[in-house]
Amino acid sequence: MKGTKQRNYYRIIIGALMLISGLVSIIMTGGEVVIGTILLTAGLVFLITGISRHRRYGDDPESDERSKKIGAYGLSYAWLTGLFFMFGLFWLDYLGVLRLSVQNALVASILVLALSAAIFQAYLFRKGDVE
Amino acid sequence: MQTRIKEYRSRLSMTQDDLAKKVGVRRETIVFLEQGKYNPSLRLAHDVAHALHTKIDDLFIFDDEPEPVGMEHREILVD
Repeated sequence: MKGTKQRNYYRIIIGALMLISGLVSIIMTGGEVVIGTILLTAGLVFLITGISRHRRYGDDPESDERSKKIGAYGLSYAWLTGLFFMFGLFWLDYLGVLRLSVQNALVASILVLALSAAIFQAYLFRKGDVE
Repeated sequence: MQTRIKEYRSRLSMTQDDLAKKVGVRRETIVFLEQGKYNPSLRLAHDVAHALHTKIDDLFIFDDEPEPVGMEHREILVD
């Protein structure tokens, strides 16, 4: 429990430091904003993640055996879904039914993998267990 | 599977949150355990039983458990 609270504090502190570093980098370097933007973005992500997880879980554990089990099963099902999707994409392209550019095929695959993982995990969490 | 976690928890005036903190899991896990919708690991089952001052056998009842053998039948089996 204590470890969870500390982890969120570290996220918030690191996020704040990265945010400040990004701002200082942009101001000091003048025209060069790439590194500053990256630091700013990463810092925001850390900060928002730390604050939202602290508000959501507080001192409670972020994960336990049930959430790890459901998380793992959800990812496995998503992997299988992604595999079938890419298999289908290949045959659609081979048969000339649907031709996608590499970029579009990759984006579609990433979306299918990410969305299916979220959907499977949400379903299993509502159900309570994987069986 | 059925559980008697709620019954034992009530006897000790413990909330789901108290039990969850004691065994180191989320409150949702205790909720699903009480409803019999989650099959815990042996470790978790042991920790919950220990927190409720009872045994695993007293807490978890499986639907396919055979009916207990009567005393007269037990004597025949032993012979």
